[in-house]
Amino acid sequence: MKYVIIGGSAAGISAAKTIREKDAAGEITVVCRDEFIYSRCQLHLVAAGASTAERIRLSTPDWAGRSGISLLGGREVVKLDPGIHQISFSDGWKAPYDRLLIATGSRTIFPPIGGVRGPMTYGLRDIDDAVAINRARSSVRNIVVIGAGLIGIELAAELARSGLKVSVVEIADRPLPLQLESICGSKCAKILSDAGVDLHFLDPARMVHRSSDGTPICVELVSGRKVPCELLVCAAGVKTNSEFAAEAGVKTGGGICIDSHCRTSLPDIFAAGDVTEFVDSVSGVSQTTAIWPTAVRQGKIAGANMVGENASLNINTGMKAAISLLGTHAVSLGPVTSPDRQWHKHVFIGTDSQGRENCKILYADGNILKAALLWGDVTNAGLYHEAIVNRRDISADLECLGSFDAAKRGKETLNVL
Amino acid sequence: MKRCSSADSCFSAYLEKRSDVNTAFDRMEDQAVKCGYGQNGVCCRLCSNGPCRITPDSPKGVCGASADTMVARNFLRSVAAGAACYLHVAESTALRLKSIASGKSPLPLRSEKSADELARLLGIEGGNARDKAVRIADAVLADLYGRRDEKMKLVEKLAIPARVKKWKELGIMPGGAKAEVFDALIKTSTNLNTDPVDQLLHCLNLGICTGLYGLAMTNLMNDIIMGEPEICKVSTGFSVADPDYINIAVSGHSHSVFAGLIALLETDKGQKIGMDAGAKGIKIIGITCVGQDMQLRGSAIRPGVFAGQAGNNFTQEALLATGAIDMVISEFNCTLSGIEPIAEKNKIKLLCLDDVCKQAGAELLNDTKGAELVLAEKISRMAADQYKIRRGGLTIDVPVHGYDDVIAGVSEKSLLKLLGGSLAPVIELVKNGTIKGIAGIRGCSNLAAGGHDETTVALTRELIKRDILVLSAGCTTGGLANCGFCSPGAKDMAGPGLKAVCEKLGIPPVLNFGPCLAIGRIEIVVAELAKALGVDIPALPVVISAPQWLEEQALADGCFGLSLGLTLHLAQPPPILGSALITKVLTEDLVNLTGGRVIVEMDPVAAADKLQADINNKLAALGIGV
Amino acid sequence: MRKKLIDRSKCVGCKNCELACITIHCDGKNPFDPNLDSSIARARNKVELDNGGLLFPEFCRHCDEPACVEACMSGALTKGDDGLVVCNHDYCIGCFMCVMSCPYGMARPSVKNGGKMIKCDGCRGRKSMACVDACPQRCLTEIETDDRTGGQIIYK
Repeated sequence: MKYVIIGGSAAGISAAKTIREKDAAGEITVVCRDEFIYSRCQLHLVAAGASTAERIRLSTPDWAGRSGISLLGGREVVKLDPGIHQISFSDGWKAPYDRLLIATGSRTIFPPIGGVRGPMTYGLRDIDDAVAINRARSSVRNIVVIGAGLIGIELAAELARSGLKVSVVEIADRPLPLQLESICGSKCAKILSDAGVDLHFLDPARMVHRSSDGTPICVELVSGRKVPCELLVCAAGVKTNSEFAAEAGVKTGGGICIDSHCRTSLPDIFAAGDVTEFVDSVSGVSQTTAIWPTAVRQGKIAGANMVGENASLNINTGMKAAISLLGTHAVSLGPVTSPDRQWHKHVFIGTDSQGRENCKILYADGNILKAALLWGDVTNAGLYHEAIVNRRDISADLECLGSFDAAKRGKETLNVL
Repeated sequence: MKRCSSADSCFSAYLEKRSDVNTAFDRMEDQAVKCGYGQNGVCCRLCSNGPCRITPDSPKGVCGASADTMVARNFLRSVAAGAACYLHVAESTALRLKSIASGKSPLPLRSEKSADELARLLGIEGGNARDKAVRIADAVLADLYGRRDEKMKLVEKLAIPARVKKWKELGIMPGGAKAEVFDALIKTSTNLNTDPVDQLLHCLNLGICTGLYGLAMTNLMNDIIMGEPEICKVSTGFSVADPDYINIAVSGHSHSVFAGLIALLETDKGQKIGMDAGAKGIKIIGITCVGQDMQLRGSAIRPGVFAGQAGNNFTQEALLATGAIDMVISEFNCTLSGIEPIAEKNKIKLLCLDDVCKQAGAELLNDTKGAELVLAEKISRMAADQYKIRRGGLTIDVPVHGYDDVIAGVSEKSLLKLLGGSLAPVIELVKNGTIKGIAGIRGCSNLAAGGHDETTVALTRELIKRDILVLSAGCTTGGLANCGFCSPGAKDMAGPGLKAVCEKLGIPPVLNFGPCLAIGRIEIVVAELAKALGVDIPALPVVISAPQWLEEQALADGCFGLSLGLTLHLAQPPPILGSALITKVLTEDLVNLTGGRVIVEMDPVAAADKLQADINNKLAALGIGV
Repeated sequence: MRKKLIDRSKCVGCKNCELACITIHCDGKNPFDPNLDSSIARARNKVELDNGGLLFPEFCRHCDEPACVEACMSGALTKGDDGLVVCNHDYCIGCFMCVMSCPYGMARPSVKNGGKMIKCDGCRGRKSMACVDACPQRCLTEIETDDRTGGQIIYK
């Protein structure tokens, strides 16, 4: 059995490992653009010089060999021929497959504004981006990051921590507009501004002015403000690397459409990770995801099904994020920033004995927990995640939340919130 | 983060608003899991072969001590500590009384009448009020400092004969109070006294020391120094903190320690210290029982000097967070460690006047007898300086909180005055069934028994609904006052009989005796009732409850109540349940010894049922129709 | 395979198990100096109260399909051949995706080690489990079993 996996990150490697566990003899080939396997979630640390490419490796150089997996880096997909079960790569190799997994992830969208492309301008999706930013930052004074999402904020914070002047430009009114509501959004903005990051909200970039040799001079915002910039990072959105699949007739929307078994619309072709689109268990809406644990899980399920099993995703959600910002932590679960009107927002804020201000914001539809945002002490976040995805009735917990009552005894419940 | 609830919803709302402050209400959750051994009193840490716990696999300590011995030892040690606390207050008050009366301290005796009355009670004759006051102080101190093998002389003057007789029978008449405490420490040390019943009896002995000296005598001496209590209308709650003034919060139990400061602040000279700093003057605000002691003095203290009692002890952190308090002076307990980071953040000066209450961040000042006014001036200037340092640019956020029509100042004397000179009207009301009984709801405030003051409020509401008159003292009362129970409007929560009484006399259904020291006053009233009815105390239709007892002093208070032969209700059990013997003695057998017993019941309605049943039994035995 | 049997009805909340866990993971391994100040140490297990107010000693289950391992983006969390799920703190960067994923709340944030995660290591390499040794009520007991499935914990 020939298994070909395109993409060597979370989903692809997870699938490869799963297949090898279940099929000792099958031929497994992982083809990817990257030269080695690394943690994509730590790119901001490499970019800011807080870590190195070597330190964020996820496997030893001999892993592939020991596992009997062929790992071919530095190659890209050129064409998919589903009719003849063949996939062609940029080095000319036309690989036959019995089972194919597409785990090609996504790439940076550069905003459609004048002057956005040019030297000293990067996204942050792979190690080359990170290494380039790290190399470039020592020679610049002003860095502008477009997009205050997860990637943009974590990068801005690390760059500021390394002593650089960073400005963040964002169309929404707060940082992490998909993860944080207004109370925690303010706190997040304060952490960033206390760290020296200049924040421009409700003021997206309009164009990038460059000097004659192409290096950026400043980013002009819609308000007319000109933010000095010698290094520009775009973290304002991603696009799935699914065009080749669409061209080959695979059903795609924003990403490659999969079912609960990670199958695509074409036989023997599976997809997993950031490239996919599937119904989110929490929102009920078909959407792409960009979360490492989800990609790993999809890779596992895809791998099991490629071997001939009948595994199902069951719970699949990308609406969760763990945020770590200069010593402050937060966990955002479910549609915190787009709650249904009839949900009730329960807010609990307090200061603990260590002087840390902690928030617990829960959105409940009656007694069913729909979304949660923990800020500060995120202990037990997993319990909230479990409650949300399994639609648990948390009436007993809601009664206790916000007040402690040692006298309440004798109720038969299992949950601990 | 689950924040503990409070019966005072206005206060709760403020806590929620001030989520930037860490208080005891936040820390409850972190400490939610309690060690079962500690809770049951079966952990012994006395020796290096331990700490030992009684478990199914290890039913005895290494020394051979059983659960009964461990529980009794732990309990006696706690009661001894609690007794020691109150006795310290009695001692300090007696020393101050002597110093003032002898002329050493340049302060007035505000009620010479009280000196005459107390001297008469104690059999001290001859001389003027000042002479008598000196001899009263000497007599108290002689008893406190006496040898253990010499019974204290004033006990027979302060307790009714029937009780003295009972105590002699049981062998619990106390010797020198401090010696009793001292020997209790010895008894409870390693491999010394291992007899649980002997230790329990010693607890009762210490209860008598606490009740008669720590409580009753301290009040009677305070009346001489600070003036006789008067029933008066006062304000309580955070709203008493007026940001236009320099606000000194006082914490502790020794009213007489503040005699000098109060005297100074009653003068224009004292207030000018505040005005020179840019404020309208200087006011004192109560945050623990000493404030409730100031609250009951009525016209004996110039109006305006004492602004009011802000709340009970667990409200102090939030009060300091308002920013309106410039200084905290502590002379005894109930000042929480939790105020230290808040004081630091808000630049509030912490002072203490006795090293027994020295907080890490507080400055200890010498409180020398004779130099009270010098100290008062020093304190006032420090407060004024602190005001100037801290107020600029500070956000002050005092919520609208509390009541302006709290009836306070009820005492054994002022109550008699209100009733026309005797307790006969109350007895008549009980005989004709208008009032269905009397309950002393008193003691501390805590967080663990259902939330802050929750059980206290629920139980009180239940009792007054049943036409049971409530006498209250302590942080319990501070909590009830801020929930409206001590205001005239509370009559609407009372049953028809009690409501009618309230309307006729112009009183609320909960009579506010003030500080926890005034538990002694409540017990004097109880003794007077016994005298009036010609019975011993256990026969009275009177019950007591410390629904949210907090600390060792409460246990010592409780032991006094038990030695008086009263039924004592507690919501949370003390750490005794690990010993079946001790539990049985306290809840059952004791009734055959002193007449008293303990009822443990967390649910307020069930507690009211049990207390009312007890009252009804006693009414029936007295031949009063139920 | 070594598993932990837990009888909830025997727990008295003494927290000996938490203390033992902190002690053996402290640098000095000195029971008289376990650094209980929370700014330094944190237990890897927790005695909690459920919504009914009943004691619930919670331990890492070393799940068959550990959500924390699936979530870990640094490779720090792995499930070994001995069945134990262990965190290598050299690789952990404190992203807390594991904290977000563990349905038992047993992957926890720790202030020690610069904010990395902390979890039970099954006392890998130790003769017996420290928490089991320390329990005075025999609420926790160790059993040997051939059944390698179902994780490391059995609640009675």
